[in-house]
Amino acid sequence: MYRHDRVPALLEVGRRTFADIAGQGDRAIEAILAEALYHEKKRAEQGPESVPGEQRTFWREAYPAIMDGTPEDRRNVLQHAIDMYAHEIAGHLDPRVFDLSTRLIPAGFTLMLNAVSLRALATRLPRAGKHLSGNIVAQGHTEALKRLHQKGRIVLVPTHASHLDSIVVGWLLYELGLPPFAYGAGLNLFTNPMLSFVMHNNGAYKVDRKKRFDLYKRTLKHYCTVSLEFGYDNLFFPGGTRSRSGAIETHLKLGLLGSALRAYQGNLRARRSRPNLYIIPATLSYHLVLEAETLIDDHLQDVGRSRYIIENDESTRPGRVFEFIRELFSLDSRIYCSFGRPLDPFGNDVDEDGTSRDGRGRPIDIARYVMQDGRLHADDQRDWEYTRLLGERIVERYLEENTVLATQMLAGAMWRLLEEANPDMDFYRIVRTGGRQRVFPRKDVLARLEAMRNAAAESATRGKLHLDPRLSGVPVEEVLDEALRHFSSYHTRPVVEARGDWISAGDPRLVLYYRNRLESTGLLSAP
Amino acid sequence: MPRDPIAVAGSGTWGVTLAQLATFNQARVRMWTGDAPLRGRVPGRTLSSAMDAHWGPGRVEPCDDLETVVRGAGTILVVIPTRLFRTVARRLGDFVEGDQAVVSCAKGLEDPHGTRMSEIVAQESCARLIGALGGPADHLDLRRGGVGAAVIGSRFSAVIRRVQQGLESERLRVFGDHDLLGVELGGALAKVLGLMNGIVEGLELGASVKAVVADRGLAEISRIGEACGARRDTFSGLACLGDIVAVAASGQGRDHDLGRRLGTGTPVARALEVVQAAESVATVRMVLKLADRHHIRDIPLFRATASILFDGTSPRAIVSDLMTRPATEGTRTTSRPPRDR
Repeated sequence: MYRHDRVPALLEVGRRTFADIAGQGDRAIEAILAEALYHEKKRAEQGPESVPGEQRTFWREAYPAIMDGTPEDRRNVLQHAIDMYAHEIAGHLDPRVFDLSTRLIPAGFTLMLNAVSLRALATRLPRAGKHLSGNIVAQGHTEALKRLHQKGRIVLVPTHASHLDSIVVGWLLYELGLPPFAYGAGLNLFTNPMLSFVMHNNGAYKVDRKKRFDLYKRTLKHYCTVSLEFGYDNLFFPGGTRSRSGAIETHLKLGLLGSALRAYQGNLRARRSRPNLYIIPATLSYHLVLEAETLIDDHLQDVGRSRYIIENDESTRPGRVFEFIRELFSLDSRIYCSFGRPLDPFGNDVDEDGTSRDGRGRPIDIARYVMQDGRLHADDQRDWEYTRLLGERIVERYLEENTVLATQMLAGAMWRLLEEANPDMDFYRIVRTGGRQRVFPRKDVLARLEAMRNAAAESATRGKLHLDPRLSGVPVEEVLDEALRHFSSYHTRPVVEARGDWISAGDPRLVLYYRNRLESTGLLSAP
Repeated sequence: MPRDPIAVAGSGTWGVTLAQLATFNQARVRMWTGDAPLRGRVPGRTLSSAMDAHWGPGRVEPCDDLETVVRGAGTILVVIPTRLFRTVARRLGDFVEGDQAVVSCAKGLEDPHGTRMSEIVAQESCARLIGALGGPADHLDLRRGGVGAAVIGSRFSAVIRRVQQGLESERLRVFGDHDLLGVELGGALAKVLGLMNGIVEGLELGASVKAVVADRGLAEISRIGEACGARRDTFSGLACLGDIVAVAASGQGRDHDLGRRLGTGTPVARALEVVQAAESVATVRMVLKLADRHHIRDIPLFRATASILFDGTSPRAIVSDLMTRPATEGTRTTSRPPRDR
């Protein structure tokens, strides 16, 4: 948020969050404060670094007022708590820093991930910057994105596979000539002072996912809404966290997503000249995912919930990040970001002029959705359902915009062969043991791969997904070779490897992980 | 200008009944009677036959201009047979606006993909406030001065409130349910049980077999519905069980009539000639597709009905097959024994 907006915006966040909670009455205030106090006290018990000192002090001093004070005392505590969290969340945007840091990408890649030094990167990857444009590819409805940016605020909602996602998307927005978007970055990414400085000045605001109590969540929600109303484009990951299984998200978290609709209604109430918000789904596709090994382990251990915030994955190890980026360039690997057709906050299609259209292409007056008897009408349950519908449409777009890559198809083919060769084993046993048979004749793998590639090409012509353009019309051996090149690099063990005329599943966990990306595409059952 | 709370699109017997019920809460109810091309596609139905008795306290105003009816209403009840539903929904889409609620009052699925009526409304218009009216309320009972109950299914509380305010009176009780999918599937699939009950009656198998059809049929419907994403308990409510009981008790309806004819030995083609527009026939086909899509195998009654309708198997042979199926433990769909106390 720019300096001149910061004070009025935070005042507005404080006002709205307070009104939201206080509107439910004194008992609600007491319950919400008690919940926050309980959670923060429990966190503080985990160690002094768990809760910042001033917040610990705040809750200690607020304790008597919450427990024994008057309703007025509790209202005061509530307002102070909201202001405290709003200030913690608020990001800062400095166009000069943004400009500088985007120029320094890909140095920024590692810098922002707390990885190797700039000097090391410059020495070892002198041509990295030049290559980056070719390695990170924007496709899909980029022109619509640019045009709609002139007509209203954008809410960009990509899939989430890696900590690299926000950096990849940030780079592409810069390449498209768009200003930085506000986005919520995990508090853990702000621990390094240098990184924190860059993130802060690039529009990132802090999200502490360990604060799972209502008071904090409401403050965060109102912060997003207000930032949209103040004219800031936003980037959310509606999946909530990185996909553990490798699959494209099909269940979205609607809390932050609902900010778009709240901001739209706020714009209507304020009679702003450009009240519209446009939701742009985007699907990111990686040949290899930086944190794949940790993520699939987490998925398989079914502890995804308890380890909601993973603090020790590959993205925190400089060597792994460096290795990943080195492979990205040396393999001529690509990261695709496919921008989907725009939606309005109600899930309708939006054309490039910013007009919402129904299923038959007729224009829609979307303000009507939030009116009753000709006037704006507040209805939380209605808005929740609208946002749920929007979520369903976003998931449809994710699948349409998915770019199918060689690694995913090889993983899909190998997993199917593993299942067929080990019919009496469930998938956990196959993952754990690799099955009794994990080596298959090259010709069998090629046959499966070809069937899958043909099915993908056919789906792509029907607009159901994208196929990596480098895989169209080439001999299937090339598809296999490309996948094997990637799979034999970067990861601790080769995911799939060739031994003469045989192909072996080297790491069934990762075969499953990359295969899962094709779930819901219909390709996994290709004959 | 404030809109009328309720308008009705469709002037068949159920459309007229709903319009009459709405007059308990508003003095004048506009009812779209269709235009010439549409009326021509509804056999044996004229407005005069449906309007022969005015029993509501207010006035039902027939109108053949769809735009007038739609633009004037806060909530539009669409009471159109399923095979014409998409045509009308598409035309409604020319006039509907986002603050209007559109409620399907047709029970059934669209042939051939099994699309629900609420899905058709969403596809063909900008409407988001969508609902479906289900339950056992019967137009004959209501016209005779009786009372009834219905269920409004919608994900939107606002739609539930609007329909309740618009239709509830001393003659009709309207329950609300947020499980729109369950209400729609329950109403559509219950019709097939009407057909099965007709077959049982035609075969003179007795009331106890009707009870078996109701219970096992309900279990099959619940299995299918739950796999599709509906709540299981919706099917044991008014929207499904209510319909099943009502049809079994009354022995009325086109589907029941068709079943009775099949049970007494009338060939399928002949029975379908006599009983037109029995929606359960298409529904059976679509249920089998749904079951395949969701890998549900255990729906013997629906498969048996399909065998009668599409393979020409005699109903008696089917009964014999069903009775000689391998025994199962209990009637519950779960095989887990109850916990010891």
